[in-house]
Amino acid sequence: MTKQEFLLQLNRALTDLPQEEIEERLTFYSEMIDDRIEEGLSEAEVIEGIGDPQDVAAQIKADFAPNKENKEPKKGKHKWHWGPWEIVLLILAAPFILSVGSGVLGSVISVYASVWATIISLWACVAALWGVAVGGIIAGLGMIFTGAAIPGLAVIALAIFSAGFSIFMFFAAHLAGKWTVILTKKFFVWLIGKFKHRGEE
Amino acid sequence: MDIQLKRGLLDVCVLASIRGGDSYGYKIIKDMKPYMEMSESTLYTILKRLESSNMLTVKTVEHDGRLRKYYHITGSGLQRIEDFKEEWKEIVSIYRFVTREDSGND
Repeated sequence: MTKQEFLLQLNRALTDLPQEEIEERLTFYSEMIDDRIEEGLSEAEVIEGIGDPQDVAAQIKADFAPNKENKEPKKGKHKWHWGPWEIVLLILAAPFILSVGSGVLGSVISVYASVWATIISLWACVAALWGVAVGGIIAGLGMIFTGAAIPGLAVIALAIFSAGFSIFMFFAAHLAGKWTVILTKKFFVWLIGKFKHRGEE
Repeated sequence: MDIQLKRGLLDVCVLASIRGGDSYGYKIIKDMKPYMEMSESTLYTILKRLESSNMLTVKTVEHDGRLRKYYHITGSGLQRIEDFKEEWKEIVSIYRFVTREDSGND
């Protein structure tokens, strides 16, 4: 068997494994084979020495399975331990962390406040549009009664348009407010969950 | 042999084989051959484990128009060997204790 044939068969036998894993294994074996050939052995001898690709694949799969199990709990092990050096560093960096932290916190709060300011201004728009609508109708009617029928009608038309537009604005303001409240709630639930999680650990 | 014990032994053996200088897969197997036989797939698993625990680093170097991975021992790797030597003393003393009990029962 040639090196190419060996690697091809090994590749086929490993298809269950992740692509990245397969490629790494093939590179590893390819290097091993080349190094042995460089020692002066013939290609066929080298391949025979490494063994049947099916057996090699079985061995790799057996190694890979417990390997994967070992890796999983490791993620949980990444807990932060406060060593003396970390604490010293934290104290030294405190003025910096506090100033940057308060700056970040301040800007987050101001962004949040501006979201609410937008919503409030949307409601103000709704109120203003209604004001225009009601005022326009009264003024338009007044104009019609005092003889200026055509300008009066125009003012009433504008007032009705303003009323219609205010309905759209009403829904926009309502939805924006509702979603901001929902997202705020979600954020706090997430934040509380995070802290609770910390406490349990 | 107990699988955990064997795994620990193999790790230290591979670390010892690169302690004197950077080495590559086939050379590691060859250097260890007089002491223990190790299959390529076993070596691969050990190298991966040592890399993920930062006991060695890997560097790909061009050699004769192809790529070869060289393994370099880190400070933690060297420390692991030192720890192993200490642990082994303990194991030896435990062994003495165990065999003394044996001869006492005879």
